[in-house]
Amino acid sequence: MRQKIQWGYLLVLTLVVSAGCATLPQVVSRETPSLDGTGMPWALTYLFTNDSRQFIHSIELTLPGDHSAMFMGVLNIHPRNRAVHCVIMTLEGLILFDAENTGDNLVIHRAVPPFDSQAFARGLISDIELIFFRPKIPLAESGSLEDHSKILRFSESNGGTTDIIVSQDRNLWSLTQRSCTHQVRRHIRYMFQSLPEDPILPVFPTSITLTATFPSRYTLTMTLIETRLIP
Amino acid sequence: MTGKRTLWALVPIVILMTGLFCVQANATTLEEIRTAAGTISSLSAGFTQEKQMKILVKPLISKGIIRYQFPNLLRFEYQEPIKNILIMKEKTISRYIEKGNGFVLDKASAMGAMDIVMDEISRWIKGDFDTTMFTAAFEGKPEPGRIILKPRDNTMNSFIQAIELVLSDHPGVFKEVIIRENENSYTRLIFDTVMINTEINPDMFNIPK
Repeated sequence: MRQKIQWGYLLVLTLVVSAGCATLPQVVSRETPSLDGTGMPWALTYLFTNDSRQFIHSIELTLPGDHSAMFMGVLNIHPRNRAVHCVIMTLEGLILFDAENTGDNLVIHRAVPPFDSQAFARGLISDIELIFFRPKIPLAESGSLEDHSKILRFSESNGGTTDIIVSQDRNLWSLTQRSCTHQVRRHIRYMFQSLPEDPILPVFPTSITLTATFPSRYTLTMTLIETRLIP
Repeated sequence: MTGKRTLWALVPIVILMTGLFCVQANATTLEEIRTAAGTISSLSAGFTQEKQMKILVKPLISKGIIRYQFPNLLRFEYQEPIKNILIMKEKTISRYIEKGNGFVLDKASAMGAMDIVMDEISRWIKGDFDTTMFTAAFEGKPEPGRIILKPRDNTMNSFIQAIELVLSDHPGVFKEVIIRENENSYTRLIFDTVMINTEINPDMFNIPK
């Protein structure tokens, strides 16, 4: 019995130590990113549109314990003023959640169980902003990782970071948000079918997977159905 | 499950069932519809679903096929944009969603209170639209008329204001169904290639492959 307790303490200690030892991916080769006309790295132009657009996705929400549910989502984004209008529907088209965030003001038009809490609405809008908008925090460094992927690292004043990493073939992009202790809070994977050489041509991820680890654990898998410019 | 949640679970089913019974009206008043409602052994129809909301740049279009076998087998299949199949067998309802290599059972769709839904269906099949969930009224204008269903329950009324069943010029066929959520949002189901009392492969009501 005593041995079991000791093993338990050892396990907890190992977890605590390993958690404390979380590290950032090491930038092995620092490079100045090539910039677009606005002075922003080209990579951001690929990943984050400047235009007001509508996206329609199938959305699969997965919760711990192998619980999952499928929805249809309509999302209007207005990157210039970081405004969002989001609707979640059943597959039959019944509206479960409808909310608008105009930057400062969150207005919930409809929210039915289990989507009827302010915390859910704020969390969802925050996730959408993270997925679709350029980081608000300053670019701290850029370069390559050991596996030759390209990285842009943004840093908050409190030590939190957001890394955007592009695979060598440029089909897989990721965004990882970490706390000041480098614990992963959000990891987003963007899958493109193919990227044009010219970033002016609009192209959008066919699949986006967001994995949240704090404060609650869930995964959102968004598969693009269609996208249109908002006139 | 709370009463409110039970009602929510029923709403998608109600919408689907609305599509089901919309192919058998053949008269121009509610009473005539009740009188005329005959025995339907089976039916199948293609449908186009048009979702309109203020937020949408263009209406969202879905397409699929509905199949019904008397007395209690139903398959409601969306073929695009998200392939999924809802199968009702007696009082069990299951949704299967296509993921990669085939259809996977959607555990989240397990719904209770099927007794209520099946009771609704059995009433609609007999042409009785004035049920425990809805009140029914017939409007002759504009021709050829429509049946308006309104929820009796205030909770349901807050997300479905009315369901309109639009008659067609062809006896025995409803042209479309409109589910009005509010002044800015509705879902319209338009039916085509309606077939009544034709044989349906029993496999259609089994787990899809």
